[in-house]
Amino acid sequence: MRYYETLYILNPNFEQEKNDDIVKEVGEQISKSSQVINHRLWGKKRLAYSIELHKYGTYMLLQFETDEVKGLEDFDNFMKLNKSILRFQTVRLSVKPEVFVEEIVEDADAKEENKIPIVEELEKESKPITPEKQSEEKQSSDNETKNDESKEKPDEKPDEESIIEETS
Amino acid sequence: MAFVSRKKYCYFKENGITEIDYKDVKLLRRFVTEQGKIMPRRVTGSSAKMHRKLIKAIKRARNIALMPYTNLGDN
Repeated sequence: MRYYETLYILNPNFEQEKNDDIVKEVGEQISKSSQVINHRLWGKKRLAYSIELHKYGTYMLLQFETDEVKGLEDFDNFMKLNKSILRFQTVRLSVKPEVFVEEIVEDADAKEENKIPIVEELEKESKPITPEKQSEEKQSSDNETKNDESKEKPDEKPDEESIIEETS
Repeated sequence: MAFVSRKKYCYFKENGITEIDYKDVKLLRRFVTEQGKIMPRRVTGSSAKMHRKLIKAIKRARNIALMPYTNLGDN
């Protein structure tokens, strides 16, 4: 078995439904002669140079395995004649590609949940290290800095105005 | 000021890279000039074997519009 990878660019102005239709067509064509391993959206990217006056393109990644050369030629012709595909490139892979597993949304939420406790733990850890007196001092110093800031802010505006007057 | 030669080394050998993927644009950009030209081996210091693979990857990336043929003029 030989493994191949096709990266093709779809017209970026198409709606989701039309995109899906074209992807389905491509999938049907390739599955005639070979087994599809991956067929997924690779992302909407800015093209390095404009193709048919398009600046952006929707990249689709297709990985498959086959032994038939004729099937590949047919697929090549199909892609060439398909007007909604701006460009495509088929490359032979030396290693069998891994099946791409989409990250489930729930996992992402779980990760975010995990992140928050870690931060809290760090804060907890940092608090005991600093004695209460220091923390009080910090709070007082924070208040002072805040006061300083509040004081500085009104001061700045007149300065700017004066500068403007001077420059004008 | 005296000319100080810095030691050249193969980026791929240092990082244990044996295959270069044409989709890895972030990596390929290191070996291309601002104009989009492939940098010569005497500049990058990469080994002959990896340089051949690098050239192939860059040319593939250019074909599929991931990298520019040139950055000069209006594309």
